[in-house]
Amino acid sequence: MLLFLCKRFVGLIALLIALSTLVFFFTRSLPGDAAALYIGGNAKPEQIERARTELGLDKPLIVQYKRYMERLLHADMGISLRTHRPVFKDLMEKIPMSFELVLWALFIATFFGVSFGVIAAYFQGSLIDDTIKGFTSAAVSIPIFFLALLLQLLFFNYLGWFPLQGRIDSFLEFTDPLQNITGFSMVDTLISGNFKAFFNVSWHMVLPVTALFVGPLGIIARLTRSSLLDVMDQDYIMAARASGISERVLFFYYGLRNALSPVLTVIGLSVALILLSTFYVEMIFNWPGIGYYSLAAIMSLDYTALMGVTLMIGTVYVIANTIMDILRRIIDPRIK
Amino acid sequence: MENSVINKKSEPASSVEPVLQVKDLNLAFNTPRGQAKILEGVNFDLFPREILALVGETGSGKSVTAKSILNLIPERSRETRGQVLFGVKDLLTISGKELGTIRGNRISMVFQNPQSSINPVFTLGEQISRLIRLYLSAKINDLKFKTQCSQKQAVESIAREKLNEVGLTDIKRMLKLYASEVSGGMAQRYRIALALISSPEILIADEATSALDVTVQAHILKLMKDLCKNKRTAILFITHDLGIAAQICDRVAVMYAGRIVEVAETKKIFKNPLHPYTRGLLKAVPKLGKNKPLSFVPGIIPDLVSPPRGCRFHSRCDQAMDICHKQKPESLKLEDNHNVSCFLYKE
Ligand SMILES: Nc1ncnc2c1ncn2[C@@H]1O[C@H](COP(=O)(O)OP(=O)(O)OP(=O)(O)O)[C@@H](O)[C@H]1O
Ligand code: SF4
Ligand SMILES: [Mg+2]
Repeated sequence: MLLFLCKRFVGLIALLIALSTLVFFFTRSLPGDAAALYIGGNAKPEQIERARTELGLDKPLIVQYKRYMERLLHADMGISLRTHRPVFKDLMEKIPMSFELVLWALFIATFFGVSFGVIAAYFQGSLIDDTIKGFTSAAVSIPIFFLALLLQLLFFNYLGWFPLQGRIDSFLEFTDPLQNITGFSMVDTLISGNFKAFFNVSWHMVLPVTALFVGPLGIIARLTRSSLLDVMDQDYIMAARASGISERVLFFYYGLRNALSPVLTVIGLSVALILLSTFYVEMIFNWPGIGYYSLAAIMSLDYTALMGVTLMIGTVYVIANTIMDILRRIIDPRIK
Repeated sequence: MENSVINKKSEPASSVEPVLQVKDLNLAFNTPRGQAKILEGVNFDLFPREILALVGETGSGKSVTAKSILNLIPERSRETRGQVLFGVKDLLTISGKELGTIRGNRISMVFQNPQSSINPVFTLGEQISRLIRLYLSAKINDLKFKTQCSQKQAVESIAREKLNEVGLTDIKRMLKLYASEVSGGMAQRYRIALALISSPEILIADEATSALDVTVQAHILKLMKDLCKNKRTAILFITHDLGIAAQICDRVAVMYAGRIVEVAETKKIFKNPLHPYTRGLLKAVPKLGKNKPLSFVPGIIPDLVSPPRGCRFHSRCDQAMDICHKQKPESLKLEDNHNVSCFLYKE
């Protein structure tokens, strides 16, 4: 296990090096003058030249690459061309806001996805199974931005149950302002005993989190169902049945554990899916997290920020999959 | 060979009640190409204390018959007719709950493929413990009381005893292993031990000794013979190996393409085989040696999606007559309880 973790760690480093190299050369081949973007519109040529020297853009590409990699070692991702702040600082501020959505979505998608899958498999061919099948088919095929807009239309426009967008009602920002302790608004409001804000913040999270979890929930539920049904047809289940073990133990104990391994893999992949979905969801719900930040960076060709975001997503993705691999090893000794 | 045929039965088969009667068992699988009529009117009885061999070439339907006895084949893909009578109960129609009290408890089974019939993500120890707790709770309590040990220790010591019986050693280590970490032979003995935990009235052993080397095989065969003698267990012994059938079985049933074509006492069938297929089988095994494959009878099993009319063996039979192409031969009862399905013996 230790060896495996070391290998994974080396793999992560290698991936990050490869990714940063790729991103570096890719962004440099994009059209647009970074120095001009940094200064902003209507700049004089000599101002742009000064910015170019300041950013090190006048040096040969290979020198720039070397400097860029050296800085990365010190968690220095350069200065954002758009916000004019260190990218690393920007990211650290935005990550908790997004992760609050992502973690909730992941938790709900996993918990209900697995539950629905198990229920559907247990009642295979019944009305319950058909209902879940219909729901999950719809869930995996609906485009995320469409779902987000639909949620706004239904729950804000028609029903008025949930707020349209944002993290907190603006008047509360004055009466009971958010304190930034961990960056996770629900945690912060709880710690600081700011219950009014806590409920308000939670309320604001419902629609964006829903938009994020529906798709992965469908994927996880469908895979759980088919994996379980597949396992229940295996020889070892038939043999256990022949030795008199009750159907319930067969299904929920012997079968489920066998079926879970591919499900864990898909949960790992869902992390990536949810992260990407935040791009749309944060835009639509005006949520100031990583997705919003990335989209803004794309719009303004802010390549330093884009590099940072890419590296961050790569890291999260590898970490998520490593965690899933560890869990798979725990439940399935065949994985060597 | 002659003295290896053990005929210990004193009572003639007909005077005792069979423990299991398979009556006109038909089974068809729905396949993409159409219905495959895998079993067509399988009939046989199993008596207490007897070992009945079920032999036949690969694909003849031996395993499917065994699984049908415990009603293990998933309903959605098949169609079944016939009866499997265990006492007065028809195992094919009783409720799942009632079946649960018979499976593994009164009738247990060793599957053909030992390794794939062990759950790969639980240790061998976990799986045997569950069955010990299920079937031997009285013994566990007894042991706990006598030796003042914990539940866990009691279960483990019973597990050790049961696995020792099938000749396994180093059991402490083995209990921590997974199916993928043991050899085929070990897996097979483990499955046999599991099947015997409940002291069943009937043991169905599907190729249960095929992965074992000769000495271990001899040990297991002796174990099975002792079971019959001392515990009145009846064994349905499915095998490819006519040599083993001759060694330990009281009677032999020969299966061809989903039918039992001949049943007789072991001695009789070896001395005087009647069905042309049985004759072919015996000729194909010149000296009843070890592990000779059965498939030496020329030709192959017919496609059972569109089975041949008449006798299913006729395309391979060198004595086939006109009638064999048109009608199905029914089972004829000849003297000494020798049954055969073939027109050659119809008066
Ligand atoms: N689930 C199934 N669906 C369709 N056909 C099946 C199924 N199970 C078995 N069969 C077919 O039934 C036939 C008999 O299979 P079975 O396993 O009983 O043969 P066998 O006599 O045990 O052979 P072997 O000696 O190789 O074990 C084979 O032709 C097989 O392809
Ligand atoms: S019934 Fe006819 S074809 Fe079938 S085995 Fe007998 S002689 Fe051969
Ligand atoms: Mg078989």
